[in-house]
Amino acid sequence: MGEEEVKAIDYIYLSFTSIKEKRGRALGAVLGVMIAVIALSLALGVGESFQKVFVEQLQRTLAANSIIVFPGTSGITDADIVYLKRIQGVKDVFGVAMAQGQVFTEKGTKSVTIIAVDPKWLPEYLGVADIKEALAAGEPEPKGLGVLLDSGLWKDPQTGKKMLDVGSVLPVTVGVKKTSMTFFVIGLLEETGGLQGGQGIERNYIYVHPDTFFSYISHTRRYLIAVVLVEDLDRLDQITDEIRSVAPPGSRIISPAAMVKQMQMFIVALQTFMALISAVGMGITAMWIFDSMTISVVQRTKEIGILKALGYSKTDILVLFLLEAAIISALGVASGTIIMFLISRFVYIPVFGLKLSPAFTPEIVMTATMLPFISDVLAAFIPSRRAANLNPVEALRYE
Amino acid sequence: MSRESFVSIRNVWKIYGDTSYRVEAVKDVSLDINKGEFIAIVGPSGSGKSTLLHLIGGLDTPTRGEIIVDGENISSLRDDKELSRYRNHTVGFVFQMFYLVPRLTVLQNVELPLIVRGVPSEKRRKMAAEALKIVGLEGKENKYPNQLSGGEQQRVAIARAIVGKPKLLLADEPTGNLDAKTSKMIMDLFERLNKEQGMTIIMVTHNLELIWYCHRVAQMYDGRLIDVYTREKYKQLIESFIQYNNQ
Repeated sequence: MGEEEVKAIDYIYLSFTSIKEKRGRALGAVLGVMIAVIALSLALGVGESFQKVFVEQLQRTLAANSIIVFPGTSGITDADIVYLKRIQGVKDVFGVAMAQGQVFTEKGTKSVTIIAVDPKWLPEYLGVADIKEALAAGEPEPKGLGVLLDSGLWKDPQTGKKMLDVGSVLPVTVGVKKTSMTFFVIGLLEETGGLQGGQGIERNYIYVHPDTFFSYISHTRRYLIAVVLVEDLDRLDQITDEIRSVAPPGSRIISPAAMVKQMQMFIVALQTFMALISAVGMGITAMWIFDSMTISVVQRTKEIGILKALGYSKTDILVLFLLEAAIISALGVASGTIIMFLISRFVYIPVFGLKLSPAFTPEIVMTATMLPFISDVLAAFIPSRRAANLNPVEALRYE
Repeated sequence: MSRESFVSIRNVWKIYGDTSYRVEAVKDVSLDINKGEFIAIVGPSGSGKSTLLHLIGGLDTPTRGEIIVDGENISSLRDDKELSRYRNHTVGFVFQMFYLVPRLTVLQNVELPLIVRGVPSEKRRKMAAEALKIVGLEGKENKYPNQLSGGEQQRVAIARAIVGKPKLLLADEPTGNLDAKTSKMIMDLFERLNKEQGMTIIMVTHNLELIWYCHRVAQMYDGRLIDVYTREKYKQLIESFIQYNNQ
């Protein structure tokens, strides 16, 4: 007749009639697969989302592509910065000078930190790609006695109303000698991350130009910290070691990137652990399928015998039984996937003041759907192979 | 093998078990069956008649000897695909217990051998309907086996056996579960298939009344083929045996 092969649609049809016959057990298995898919996808999705939000937050707060050098009492000189810049894998280095002071406003005196960063590096320091992202009003760079104010100084934390504005005059005293000077506000900055970042920190910072700082506030050109920007994060450990060798004696070297990396590893481990716990559900479902198929093979022994007598080969029988498991699993996976997407839209966990919903990347969807599916089909393989290998005469005589 | 032999059984043995447990189910059986012949294999329980039928049908393989059906040495077929193909194309089975698949309709049950052959569904349905018409079950296509009588179920099984137009029909106690009236109906059907379609039929039976439908009778005892008789000769033997017992 020229056909000679069972058509896929006929395999599916025959398997489907069997599933329909044992619909109670099949429904239980579908529910099991569905729960396994949901549990696995939630474990992976929440982990992924948590990792993303947490790492982003850390990166914003810690300026993750940098290594920060805190020198001893000697401070960091421009010569030290030149040395640091020569290290392979270092993109650039900038120094940050700081001094404590007090500012006099209508509401009284307030402690402030005066920070001197080269305007070129101010966005990096503030943790933004462009200074415009941080600029609320006024000029983007400090010039002469013109300074930029961080949000803690110009914005009322309760009402959000402006306490100071561009053009305001800012009398300050600086350092232990309480040197009096007057700054002019030329720019206002919004709250950002970066090296001064972190939510909940009172941001009483005044950004001045380094030339101004070293002319009026400190007469020795030494920085309180050096920020080393790293080009290749994979070489982080090596760069840190090299910095240690050229940095002034007694320096402390902190690598936010390493902290982020460690935290990332911790979250991945946590995510894996959660996935393993949820995999228990997957295992139980696979065992259910194994059990269900084993019962099915026993109950249908005679049917297997007659199918063999009618010309069905071992492969045909194997495919029929595997397909049953595959259809059950596919139904569970499909319903689980739909519920998983609904959950991702409507369910969230509050963390860091954010609504953390499970993130379903293509990799997570593939893992959460394919793993239960493959484990179910594998679980069905042993009883299916047993069915395929049944001796037709023994199968027909089976009571 | 005689020139007209359709089924040639040569010194066939079937031994089950191993050295510690050994059952010789069929012992050195040789038999030739002609094309278009209707032959009965008779004998007491455990005489090896069903085993011989399974060997001819490719459900089991002989331990020794050879079975040639329509020129094909099936005892040498070891590959599952080849054996399956042989069972699907050359043989049709009818069993005492019908063995219909309860979740499938009558039509779907009859379609089963055609599915494995890859026949397209439309053609399949047409062929199955024709087979059901031959066995007198038109109009019952959409019934389920449990909605039919025993005789009807056996006719469905016969329709399933003949739907692929096999050259050889193997029937193992086909009326064993049926009353006398229904048995006659089934045997009339076999006779019709044999006469009208030239189908070679090998039937295993306990019921000696059924041998009148057959051309020859093969008598088995304890795994051995005692003799092969013509229907008339076997009738004489039975009558002499009855007379002897009555004296």
